[in-house]
Amino acid sequence: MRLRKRAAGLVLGAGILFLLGTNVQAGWLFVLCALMLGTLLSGAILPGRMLRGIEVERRAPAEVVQGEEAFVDLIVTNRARGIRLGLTVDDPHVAPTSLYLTKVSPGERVELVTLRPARKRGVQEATVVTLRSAAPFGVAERRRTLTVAGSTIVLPAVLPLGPLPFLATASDPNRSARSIAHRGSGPEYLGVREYRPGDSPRHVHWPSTARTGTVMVRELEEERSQRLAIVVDTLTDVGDEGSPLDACCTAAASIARVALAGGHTLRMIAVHPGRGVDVADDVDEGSLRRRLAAIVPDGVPLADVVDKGGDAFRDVDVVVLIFPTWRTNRDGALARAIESLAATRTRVVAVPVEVGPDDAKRMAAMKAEEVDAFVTTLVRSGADVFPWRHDAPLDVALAGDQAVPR
Amino acid sequence: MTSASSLRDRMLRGSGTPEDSVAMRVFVAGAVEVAILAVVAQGGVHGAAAILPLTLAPVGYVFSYRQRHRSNITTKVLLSVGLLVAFAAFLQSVQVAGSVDQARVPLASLFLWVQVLHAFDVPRRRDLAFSMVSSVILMAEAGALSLSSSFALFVLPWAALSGGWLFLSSRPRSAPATKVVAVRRRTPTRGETAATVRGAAWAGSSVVLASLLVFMGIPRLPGTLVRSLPFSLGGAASAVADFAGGVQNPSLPAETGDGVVNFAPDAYPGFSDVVDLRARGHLSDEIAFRVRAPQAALWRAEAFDTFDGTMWTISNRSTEPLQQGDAPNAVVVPDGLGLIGPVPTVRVTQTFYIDTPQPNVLFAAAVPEEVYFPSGGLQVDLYGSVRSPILLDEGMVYSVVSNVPVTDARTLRLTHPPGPIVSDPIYVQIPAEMPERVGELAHRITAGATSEYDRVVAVQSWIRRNTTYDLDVPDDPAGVDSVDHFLFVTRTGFCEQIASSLAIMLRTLGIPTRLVTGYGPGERNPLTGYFEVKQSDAHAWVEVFYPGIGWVPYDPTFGVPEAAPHASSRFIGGEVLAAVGRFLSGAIPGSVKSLFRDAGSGMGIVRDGMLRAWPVVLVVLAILVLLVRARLRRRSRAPAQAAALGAYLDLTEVLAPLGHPLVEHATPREYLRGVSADPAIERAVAFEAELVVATLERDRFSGRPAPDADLDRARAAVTTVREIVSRR
Repeated sequence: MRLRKRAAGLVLGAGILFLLGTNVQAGWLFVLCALMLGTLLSGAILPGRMLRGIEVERRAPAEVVQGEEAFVDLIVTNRARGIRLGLTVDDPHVAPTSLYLTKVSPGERVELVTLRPARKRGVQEATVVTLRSAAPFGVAERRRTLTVAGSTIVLPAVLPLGPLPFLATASDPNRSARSIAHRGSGPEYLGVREYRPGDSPRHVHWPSTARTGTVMVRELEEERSQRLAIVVDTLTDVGDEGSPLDACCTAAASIARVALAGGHTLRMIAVHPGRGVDVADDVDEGSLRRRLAAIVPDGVPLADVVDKGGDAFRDVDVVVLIFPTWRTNRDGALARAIESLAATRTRVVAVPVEVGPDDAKRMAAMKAEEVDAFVTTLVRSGADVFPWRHDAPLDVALAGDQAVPR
Repeated sequence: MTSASSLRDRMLRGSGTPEDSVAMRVFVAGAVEVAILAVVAQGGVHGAAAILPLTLAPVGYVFSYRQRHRSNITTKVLLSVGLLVAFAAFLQSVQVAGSVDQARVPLASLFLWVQVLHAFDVPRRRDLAFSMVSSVILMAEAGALSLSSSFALFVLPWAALSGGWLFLSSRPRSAPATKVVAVRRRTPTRGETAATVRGAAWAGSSVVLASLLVFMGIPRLPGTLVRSLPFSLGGAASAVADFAGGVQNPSLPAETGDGVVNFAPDAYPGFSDVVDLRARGHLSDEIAFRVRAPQAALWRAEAFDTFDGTMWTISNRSTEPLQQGDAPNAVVVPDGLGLIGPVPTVRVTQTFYIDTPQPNVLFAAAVPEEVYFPSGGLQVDLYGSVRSPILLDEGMVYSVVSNVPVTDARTLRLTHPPGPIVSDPIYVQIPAEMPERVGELAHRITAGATSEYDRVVAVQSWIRRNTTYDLDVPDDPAGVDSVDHFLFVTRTGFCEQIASSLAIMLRTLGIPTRLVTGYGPGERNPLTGYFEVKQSDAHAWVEVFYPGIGWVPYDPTFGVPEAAPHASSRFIGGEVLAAVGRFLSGAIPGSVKSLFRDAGSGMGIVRDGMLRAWPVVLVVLAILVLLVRARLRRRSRAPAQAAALGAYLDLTEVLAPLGHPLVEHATPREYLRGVSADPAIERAVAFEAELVVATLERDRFSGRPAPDADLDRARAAVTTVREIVSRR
């Protein structure tokens, strides 16, 4: 039971009336005083009765995308014989919601259709609905919790992105030198070489032939899909809505959509509390978003995941590391892990998600100038870095224009 | 620009959103109107001055409702001017007030006007709450002025309106942040109104019960936390002709042939120069006056010192005027008329509200010290009886501050032994012709007593044990000594005879006494807190002189209220129950009461029979217990029945979009047939629907509730149907 302000008002009023009544020996003042205290007493007891016999049922969608609104129905039924007044139903499912019902008659069933914004990514399994009532006098509030089944997965939002530079077949010399060149008849141009028997005359590169006097042909990269691994930093998180981890998941889901649309295959590497590193191969978009929705902070630094990933990174062409700019990522371990990974001829793409200033106050996150230095460190470690500033759109961040050159 | 205008709005209107609830405003306006009416009805303001506030207050609430979304700066300015005018009028009125009490009416008028003006600017819920607080103050003022239980006619509607306001104002102030797209209610067609009425009755009765318990538990402290101001309000009073300190009682009937002045319904013959034990008659139950006092007391009027065998008289009729006291309007009673020794006393402030005309003698608890009276020229005799030059007419109010002596057995036993203890021998005077057996009886009764106190107590106890109170005793034979006749012949009589017997028997032992007349304490009205003293409470008792202490009252008829009441007596639970008992006793017709009496005697016979046939009684009781238990079980299963019905209703709701809505005139089985016959409905749906309907039928018609397992299955069936339908 929680007393409200007006309870203090009633006690104060009753006290004043008692003093006045005692002073002037007027019985009616004692009657008014008793009425106030009687209202206080019954007002403290009756709300408990208002909560009896009330059943609540919830209907919620199985999935909803973060940032969108979801229809959630609450069905309140009065199974008691008496009328129930002043009911407040608090339901935290998908979004904290308080609904007020002036009255529910005996046997009445009230269906409240609500539209709730899904601001927080993750599996929403609110099993409890809280009923509150201060009726009929608003003096004290009583609460009762009801177990209500229901589960909704809030999937990370997917932002529209253009072509991603790290998914296209690289043509720059450095990229060719480091990666395994799969020569073939694909559309990507790798270079020129001397003619070998069997080469198609269509591939003869006439300018080079004329310059060198030897028949030269264009060498083309074999057309094939890449294997992309996505790793999200699950060290920690902060904030309720649109948290840094949510932003990382959104970036991951958005990159995944583009990759899948380009015919690439996806590997999802995540750390699950108690299960260690979880590797899921060939995930589709739905499966990946559900996995991203299930991600929760686990306290494992991203450097550890990269270091100890072992086989998880085998046969992967591109590893996309998505992580908030927590200060712990700056301690050198992540840079060393990236360096080790890059040494295996795997292309490493780092997407540091800058923690917003509001969140930065609460957690040890890097300041803007620290982020710049951190990005430079990552570049030196051999990663292609696409920093996502908190005030910039994701498609701009990943377009390559903002990328830091090595 | 927008922020500037919103800032301006906030400055003008204050924070908070306007209250749109018409119902809430109606409750508040109603409560304020009732409170204003209560103040007017109790004389807080003059009737004519109240007409305008009564009319304007509702207008103000309507106006403020219409203007609630506006800044109303013009209105605020006008209201401020109105407040200044009202305050100026108040100051002008109190300039001519002679006392704080006389400022009461202008103060109430000022408060009324503040309330009315405030009614024109109550846009928000908080402003309405201020109005309710104001109505509490008005009700408190009216309650402080109220003298009768009829004030309940205002309290009850005000409490109901306040309860309505409490309910409505407990709702959340703002709309929920979550969008409620739709609200669908499925209300049972019948019983909603009855349920609402039941709910209101439940809430109301619980408040009344809780308030009653609190009321009975509130201590009635003696009022010394804050010293109360005695006051006096003068009405049109009748002057006493040729007043020289004597007692005049115009309501007394004329003497009979033998010179006896009998009782009249509204006049006690003891308020005069004599108390004649030959007088007979009855006094009415009309209220003589009400006393506002922290404790009960005997309201003393006169004392008589000389007894001639049938009549008490006053030997010394000289009086002296009361002197002006330190406090304004107060006159002081000289010392030494009651107490002479250093006895602990309790200061008791009493205010008397005269209901029916009384003689020109002031009633007060012994021993009066200060008197606040509407007229000057008060006189006091040697016995502490205060007389006024005007009669105590209806409507007169006066206050007396008394020092009630607190004596106990230990203190009184330590006084000197009997002997020449008081200078005036008149207090031990006995009639010359009185038979000696009166004295012999007194000596016999007090044979073992060693102190004056023990002798007084012994005689009083003997009288209480051996005499009976009765107002309808026949006249005494001519020529007999009334005390002797009472003690040795009738031993039945009224208070004058009983008190006289005590006084005279003590005098035969040499203990100084005098007979005192006045009124008994009356009954305290638990609601008003006033002692309501009826004409029939007119009474006679005895004062006994203790050397070194003074005159101590003894009432052999009913007893003297405690001068320093025990702490438990500060709670009026018993008085409330007694008042309820009296009310019921008066409300229940005599025939019904005799019926109950007969039933009571019949129950005695039944009880005797039950005791003889106790095995049969035990068996019957066991059967009754089983029946009640079964009934309670059935009642506790009521939610289960609702669950079966709920599952059926859920089913109809799910199938309604498919063309099968709930049809009220169709039975569940008919509804099921319709569903099953529909080719568009899947067989699985029909199967599950059959399960739900069968559970409902079993629950309703089998005579016992459906088992929990069946109910769970029915709920699961509805869920299955919902899933099938959602996949379509």
